[in-house]
Amino acid sequence: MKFFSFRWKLLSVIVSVLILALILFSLLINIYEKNLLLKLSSEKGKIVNDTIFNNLEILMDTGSKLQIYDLLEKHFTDEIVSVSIIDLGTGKIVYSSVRENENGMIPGEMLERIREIKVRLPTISITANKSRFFYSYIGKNFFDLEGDFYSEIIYSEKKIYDSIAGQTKQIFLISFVILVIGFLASFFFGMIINKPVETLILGTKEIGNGNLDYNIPLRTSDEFGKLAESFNRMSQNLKFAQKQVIVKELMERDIKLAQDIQNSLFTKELPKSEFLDITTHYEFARVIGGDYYEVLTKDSTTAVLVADVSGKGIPGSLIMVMLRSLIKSLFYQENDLKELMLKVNHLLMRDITPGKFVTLLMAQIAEKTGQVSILNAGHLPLYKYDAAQKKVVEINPGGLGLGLNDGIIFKENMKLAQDELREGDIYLFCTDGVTEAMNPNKEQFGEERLKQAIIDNHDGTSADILEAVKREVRNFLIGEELHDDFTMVVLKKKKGGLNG
Amino acid sequence: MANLDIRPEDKNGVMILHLKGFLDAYTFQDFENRLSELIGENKVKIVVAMDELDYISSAGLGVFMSKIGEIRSRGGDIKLTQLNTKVFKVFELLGFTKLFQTFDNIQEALESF
Repeated sequence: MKFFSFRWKLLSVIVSVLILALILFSLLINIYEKNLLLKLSSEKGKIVNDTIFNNLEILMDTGSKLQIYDLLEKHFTDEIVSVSIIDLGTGKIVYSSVRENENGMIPGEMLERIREIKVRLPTISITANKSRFFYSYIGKNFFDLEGDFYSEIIYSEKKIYDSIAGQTKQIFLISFVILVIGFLASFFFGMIINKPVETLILGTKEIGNGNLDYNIPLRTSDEFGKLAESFNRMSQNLKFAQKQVIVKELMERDIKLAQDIQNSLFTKELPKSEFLDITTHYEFARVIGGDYYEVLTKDSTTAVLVADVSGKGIPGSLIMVMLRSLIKSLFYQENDLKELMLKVNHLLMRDITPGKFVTLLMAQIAEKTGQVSILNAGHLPLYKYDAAQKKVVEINPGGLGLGLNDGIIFKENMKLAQDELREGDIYLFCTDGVTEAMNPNKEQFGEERLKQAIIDNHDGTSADILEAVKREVRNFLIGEELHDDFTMVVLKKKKGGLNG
Repeated sequence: MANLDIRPEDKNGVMILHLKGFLDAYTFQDFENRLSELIGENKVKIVVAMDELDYISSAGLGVFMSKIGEIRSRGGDIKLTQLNTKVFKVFELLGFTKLFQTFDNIQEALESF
């Protein structure tokens, strides 16, 4: 793993770039050096030629060899260019800058070839072949002298390459030194980068392991410092977000508890009734609702009520609990429905926040006679299916919502309606979550659809009717969620009793 | 989600608030804040024009109840005008028409102050 770390990657990139640069550099130097040497050699050859030409007489006098040396020697110190003077008559090498060759004989074959050249090229010529350059001077004056001489100036490629090789060696030596320096430099450079990166890695590991209090100790002004700073900020924000999540979880747990408490407050087991068939239903749009229903019995009377607290959530549910306590305790003390409601309103007014109110619809049924008292505190009317008339009528004596007014206005407007339940008659109590259920086109379910659903299903039990209304509402909503609590109580008069 | 548009109009010291759209659980806060601002500025003679109000829920009605006490104690009032049938039904059902004066047009409401 370590081998592939950032440091090694950086190192290998730098070394590769250096090597490539050095190869290119030495290649260029080689080409340049070769050209330079070739140029020097050819210039030297010309000088030698001119020297020979200008000193022919001395040259002819074999006794003055020393002078020839003096004349030529200084040009051949590097041994790249060599010169030989050959007696064409005898093939004897009269002079050679390569000492071992002096006084030797050139091979007969070569002598013939040189003689041919002399015949073909009676004037100055410079020729070249692949392996060597040679300048031959065959001058007129030269040949007029006793005996023919031929001077051959050889440019040795091997010597050039040897010379270049020496320099290349030097270059490679320098390159190696540069490489080592580069290697060390990138190593240390890598260290400089690596240290903060490792600090960051350590820090992020700590944060990743949930230690949100960890502060990455990197205080540089460069990008790494900034990165560390933003990491530290991130961990702070994470900590804050985590706290919020915890708070939210606690709140949700509280809400769940509140919901459980609220659910336990609803009438679970409906009182058994010989003459009445009752079904209830509630659904909350939010976790905690503001709707409330109750079915109570006392002596031979059954009371059904549905209420809606303005505002949902915790405030709504608290008021609902207040209302329930009041109803439950006062119901058994107070036989008169209107008096009961005046008391409930009066007590509720004391504790309710301004702006909150409750609407409530309540019916009290004498089971044996079927006589019913109905009271409405600002709620939707009671929908009654009249079996005899085969139609749905609204029963609404009128009245103010609870918690709005505790004075004469409330009292004067609170009225009771009387009704009589006969076999097959149906009562439907609901909250506006039913009638105002809104579909995506912002249309409300409405009372007419509700009434029609009751009429269409009046033959069924109270449970059948309730299910039918729920189904109708669901179809109407086309997948839209409920935006308000949805509460319904359906009551149907069975056969029996005084009027049944 | 439906919106509520509140357009205020100052008519010789009486504030007319023209409501448009939905006054429900999602928008009632805007309306309540506006009423609080008016109370803060001691502009407590208020006419709420509802000819363009499509819907009012119990949360919306709650706003009127939560503010009316303070407004009346400062010598002001809230008068309601041009309630359409649907909105009027909601007000009447709850008994609000017993607690607030309603008018067919703004002029009558202004003259009632």
